[in-house]
Amino acid sequence: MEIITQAEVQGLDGVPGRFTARVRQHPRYIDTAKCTSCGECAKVCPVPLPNEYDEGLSVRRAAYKRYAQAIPGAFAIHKADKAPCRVACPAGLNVQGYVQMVKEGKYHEALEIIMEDLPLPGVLGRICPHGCEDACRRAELDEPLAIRDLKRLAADRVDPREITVPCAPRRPETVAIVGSGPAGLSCAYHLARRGIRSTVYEAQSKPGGMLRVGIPAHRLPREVLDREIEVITQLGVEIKTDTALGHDVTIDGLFAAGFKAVYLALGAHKGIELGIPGERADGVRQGVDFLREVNLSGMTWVGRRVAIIGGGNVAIDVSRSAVRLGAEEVNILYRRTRKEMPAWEEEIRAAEAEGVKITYLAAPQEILVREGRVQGLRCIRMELTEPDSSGRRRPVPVPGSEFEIACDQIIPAIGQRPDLAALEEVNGLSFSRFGTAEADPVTYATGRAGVFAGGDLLTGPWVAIGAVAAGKEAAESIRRYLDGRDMAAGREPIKNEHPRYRPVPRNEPRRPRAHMPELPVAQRQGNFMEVELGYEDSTGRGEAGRCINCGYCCECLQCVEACLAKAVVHDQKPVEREIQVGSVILCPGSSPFDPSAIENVYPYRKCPNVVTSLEFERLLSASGPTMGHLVRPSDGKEPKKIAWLQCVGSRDINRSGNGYCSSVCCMYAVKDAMIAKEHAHGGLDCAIFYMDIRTFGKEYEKYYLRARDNAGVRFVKARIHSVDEVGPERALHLRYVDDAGRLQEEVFDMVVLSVGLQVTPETRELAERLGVEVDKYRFAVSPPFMPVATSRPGVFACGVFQQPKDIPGSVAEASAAACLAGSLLAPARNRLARQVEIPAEIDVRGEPPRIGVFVCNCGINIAGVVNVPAVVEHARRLPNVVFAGQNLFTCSQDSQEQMKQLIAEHRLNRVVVAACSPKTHEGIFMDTLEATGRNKYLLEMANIRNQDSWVHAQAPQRATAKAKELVDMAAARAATLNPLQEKVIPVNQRALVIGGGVAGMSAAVAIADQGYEVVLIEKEDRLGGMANRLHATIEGWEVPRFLQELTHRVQSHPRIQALTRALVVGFSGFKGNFTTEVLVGPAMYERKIDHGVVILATGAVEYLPTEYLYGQDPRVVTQVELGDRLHGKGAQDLSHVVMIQCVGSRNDQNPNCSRICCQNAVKNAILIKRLNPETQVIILYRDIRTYGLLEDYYQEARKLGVLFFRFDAQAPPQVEAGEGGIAVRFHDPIIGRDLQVDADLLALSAGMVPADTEELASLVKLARTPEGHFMEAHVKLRPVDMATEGLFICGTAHSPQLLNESISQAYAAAARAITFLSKSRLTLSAVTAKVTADLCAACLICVRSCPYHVPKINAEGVSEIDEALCHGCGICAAECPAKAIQLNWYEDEQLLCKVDALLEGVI
Amino acid sequence: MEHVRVDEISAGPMPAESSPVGAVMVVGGGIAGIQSALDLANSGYYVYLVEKSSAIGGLMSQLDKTFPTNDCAM
Repeated sequence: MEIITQAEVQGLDGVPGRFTARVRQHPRYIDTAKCTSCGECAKVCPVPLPNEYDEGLSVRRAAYKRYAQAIPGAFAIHKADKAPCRVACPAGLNVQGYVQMVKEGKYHEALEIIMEDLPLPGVLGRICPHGCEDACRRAELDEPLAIRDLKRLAADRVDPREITVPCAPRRPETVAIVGSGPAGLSCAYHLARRGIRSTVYEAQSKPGGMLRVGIPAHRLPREVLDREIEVITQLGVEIKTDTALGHDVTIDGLFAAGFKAVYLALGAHKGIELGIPGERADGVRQGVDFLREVNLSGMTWVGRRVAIIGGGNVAIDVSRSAVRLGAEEVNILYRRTRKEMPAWEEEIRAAEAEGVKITYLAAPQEILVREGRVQGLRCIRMELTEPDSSGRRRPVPVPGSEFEIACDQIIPAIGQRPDLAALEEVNGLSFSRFGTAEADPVTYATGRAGVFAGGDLLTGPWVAIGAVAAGKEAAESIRRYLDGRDMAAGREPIKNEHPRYRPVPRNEPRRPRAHMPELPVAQRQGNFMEVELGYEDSTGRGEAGRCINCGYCCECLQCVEACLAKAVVHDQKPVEREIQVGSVILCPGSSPFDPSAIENVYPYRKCPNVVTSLEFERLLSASGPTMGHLVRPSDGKEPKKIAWLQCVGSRDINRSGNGYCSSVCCMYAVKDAMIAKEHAHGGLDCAIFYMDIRTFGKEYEKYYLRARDNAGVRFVKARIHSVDEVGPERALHLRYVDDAGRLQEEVFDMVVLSVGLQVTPETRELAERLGVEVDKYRFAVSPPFMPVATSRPGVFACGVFQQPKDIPGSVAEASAAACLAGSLLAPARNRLARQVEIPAEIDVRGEPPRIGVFVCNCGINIAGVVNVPAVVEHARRLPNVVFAGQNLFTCSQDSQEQMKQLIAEHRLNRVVVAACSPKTHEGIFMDTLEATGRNKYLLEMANIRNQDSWVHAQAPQRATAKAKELVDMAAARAATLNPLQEKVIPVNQRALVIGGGVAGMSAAVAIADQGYEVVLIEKEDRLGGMANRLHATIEGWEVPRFLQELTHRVQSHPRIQALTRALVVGFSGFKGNFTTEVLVGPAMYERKIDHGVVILATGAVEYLPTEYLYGQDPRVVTQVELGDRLHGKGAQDLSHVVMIQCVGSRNDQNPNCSRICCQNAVKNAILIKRLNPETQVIILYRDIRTYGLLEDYYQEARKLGVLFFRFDAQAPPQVEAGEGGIAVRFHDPIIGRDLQVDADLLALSAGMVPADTEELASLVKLARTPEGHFMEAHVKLRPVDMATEGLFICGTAHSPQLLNESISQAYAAAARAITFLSKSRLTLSAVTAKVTADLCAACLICVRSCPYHVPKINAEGVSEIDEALCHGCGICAAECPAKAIQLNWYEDEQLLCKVDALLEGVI
Repeated sequence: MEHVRVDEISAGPMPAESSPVGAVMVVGGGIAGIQSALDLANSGYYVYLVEKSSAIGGLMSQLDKTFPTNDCAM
């Protein structure tokens, strides 16, 4: 078997027997073969996500395991597409990753992530325009995350110079970079990481380019810039300042000097002129020139009244610098409105706060000059046009609106462009019409080989992070260029139009974005001290905590570091597989109904104390969010009153669209209420508000009665009008109308919504992809009398996808589906089987023990607490130990191989593994022993993890001491172990089916179709059983025709022998080898049948009522008789028909519900209404139990006018025979009156009673319920298996059920039987009990204590235990007072020696 | 528990045309899927158990106890 997790089926081609399925498996990002399930990845994972397993009531990490016992045991990483912030960043910084690290306070790790792409974290952390924040989906809840400020926080806390930058080994080539701005620096940095040295040439006196000359120190302190440039120079990059291209160096000269490539990153430093008169006057200065001087020298001449033209960040920087330099009046003129202004909003506000005036919708026309000096500016008012086709509103002058302003300095800041003077003559370079250089958009290669370009030189003035990105890309191109590789390969940008992200968590509390403290405005005058002061630790980490982790996993790679097994693979890709199969079984299951869809009815989202039943289940669970401590979600207090509201999302077309009954909610509500009461140790009031209690399954009614009568669970028949939250305790106020029509009000601490099961829309899509028809509720549609089949041959459906059902129903049906899926493929059985080759066993008996002890570190699971080397050292000195060693993970594949070698090398004949639980790992090590020719029972495990390091993590020294003691004990036992031989028994591949009704015949055909012989025995003289009395099902399917076909198949099947009038009189044997004696036919001749399995299908009959005048008055009939009458005589002569439910069921004699009678009544009622709409039909019921899709027929009957009146079990209807009919008197609780109807016919819904199997049960030694149903081996998980292996049950011998359910269960029993029949031999466990006859006193204690009735007193008068029947539980060995019984592998000495080893030296 | 040893089975080459493939795909790893898969594997067929989530177990693995015996679901 292969389990393919995180996978979906994309399509299915082919025909039954030969399908090709297309399966897409999503990456797990963890190698299941390597993962040891130690959980270290989850411990370091910073991403908290709602834990689906706990229904969101607890938190899991993006690296997670669905639940502790999950299979496969490997962890998985939950990952979607790259987060939008990361995608929005031109340099592709892993924003989500470093934000999560900041949240954790791991600033060092945050910087490591940032510096993968960006060498200047503190710089960009201040001046980046943060496109990432525009993309942040947190904005859908409140405000985007302050991403840039978090980057700065990391760089504030840890000096980026301290980060070790991983660099490849140094290469011989060198590269020249022209320009030390962000592009040049980034290129140098990324070349250095690739092992390539570079020299950076800078025209100015200091490096940094626009970062230094363009951005004032109040926004970017010089020491931050200097420090981060050092990050780059630390890597061996040389920066030569005051060296201008064209002036001091040339491109040709650089190549001539030995540089193998040149990167041009000159930037855009030339201001654009206004183009108006007077621009040459004194007092007119370009913004960029103004800033350059201020930034390099700390001062420049500034006017008293300064006018700045422009609306970008340069204009703002100039204005705020001018204020700091002492200008009295600073005025910005911008030709559009504030809305269009490209400068950042926070910068505009800061400028205004500092006294800068901004005049919008104004454009300069002429600079007013006197004596060559600026005196003022003539401007004109502008207005915006209507949006043009591109949506832009152009500014146009308002005629006649000219005005003048007085000023002595005018600073244009309307844009910059590159200064191309030094490049224009260079060979091979080309330029755009915008005055920028041109290069390949992906590789940044120019027309000249070895020359690359980037940054503002290429793009015109753009953001620093864009230049950083360009520098990084160029570095990659240069490396490839030096290697002579294709520069473009694999680098085309991939656009993902429909990214998959974590949905925005709507219930996340709203939290505003945190702001940094700022230098007070009053302190900003006359200096360039930094204005924004950075986050406090807690503020910043809190801000980072607002991240909603759009990509789930943030790829911080902390798990990669933490995983000692090297199992994390972050770059796994989805795998598309084509799988060849003969048939397909669909069991995609269901989801609980989500009550937030009907929030207006039940305030589920709003009120924390309103929970779904599944959430409640998690609250009760020991593995749940409260470790099984039942508390109110709102405040963690124990509730005193809990209400269950039934039928939420079931039996409710109007609100949820789900008309069907979910079949399980009544039972689970009863269970949850009982368990809640147990948890609360009394004093908890549990009330279940219901429409009908539907406890229709096997023995379920008794469970309900136990809850009601013993546990004191209240059952209130009422539908809730309203649920309102009241008081500070957030209690819930319920209003409802009780049975007597009175309005009641009650307050509960918690309300549990008993949500129904529904098939998800995704499942419908799956069904569509596979060509399988589903009904209006999305359940699979099956052809008549073919349960688990679908509309597509060869494809089967089971579980809730087939119809709502409980676990035993799902399990049985799953076996049924397996049966039908297998019957198509019988010729190919075992064809894909492979025998495991095991070398011949080495006989070690008589050899002195040579024990090898293998101590496991389990990563740090054990080694983190226990001193493993000390344990190994200790083990080495133990008696008989000839080898002791340790493994990082003893269970890993390579350790196994190593172990095999060591076993051979040291000639070990006993092995001790000190690791984890034998429950999970014993099999692995047994296989290892077998592979070396050692008997697998020569193994002993010491659990130094689960029972030591995990539970004593706080006391490592004592844990180490305990580990040594556990190893002492294991080694002592190992020395006593003997090889044990597993017995192999042959299997008789013939089945015996007892009972020739529909169930028995269906099982017989199913087994015979798979190629095995069947003997079917029926005690009556004809096949068909109870179905012989039926006409049609509620769906309208004709029973006689079906029965005829089935009987014909049985009688004509070459592998089925059907014996009628056959009676079982003798039975013996064990699984695979039974012999049954049968008396057959009128002559009662005796036959002995040898067979390997038995299927019991002994059926049931309709209860013969003694109530309500049945048998005394011909007008009183059963439902089966009514069916006969309607099919024979019709209903034309009937004016009133009354039906009484629960006759012979749900009473003292038979406390169980007969399951089928409600639908039987509804079926006949609908038939009457169809035959004669005039007939009044009245059904007197206790609870209508039309479970599953039968609910639709109940609704149909009501629509057809059938009247339903509920009666109390204590006050049943009164019936009296009269002239005009049968007088039926009953009480109507709704109108509160007694009513009487004179019925032409009174139909009793008589229950179902199992056929008399008392004798058979004693022959086959099987237990039955008090009511006579056979008892299955396990109610939930082995619903058709009997306690004795090799015996199976199906049909109404199991419990009352419908025809289709019987057929399904028959297939299930057949499938279970075939798991035996398909093997010619069975290997039995060697762990069985054996009797030393000499010691046996035949005291019968073993006979009585064995839960499987195996020990017998034999002819010699001593106990004998058949090893084929023994389950190896050891009870008899423990009980035997004469010590005559020993359990193999657990002999007294083998256990006592452990005790001795533990207590050695103590007593 | 059964003590039957299940022989290891693995997917092999496609059988000749017209004969069926001795493998079954079970879609969904809840209690139903697990049971189907086990029965088929124990009957000599190779099984691909395809599960949407990272672990099999389905809804039942989330339950605390199960009715009517109040056995632990796990």
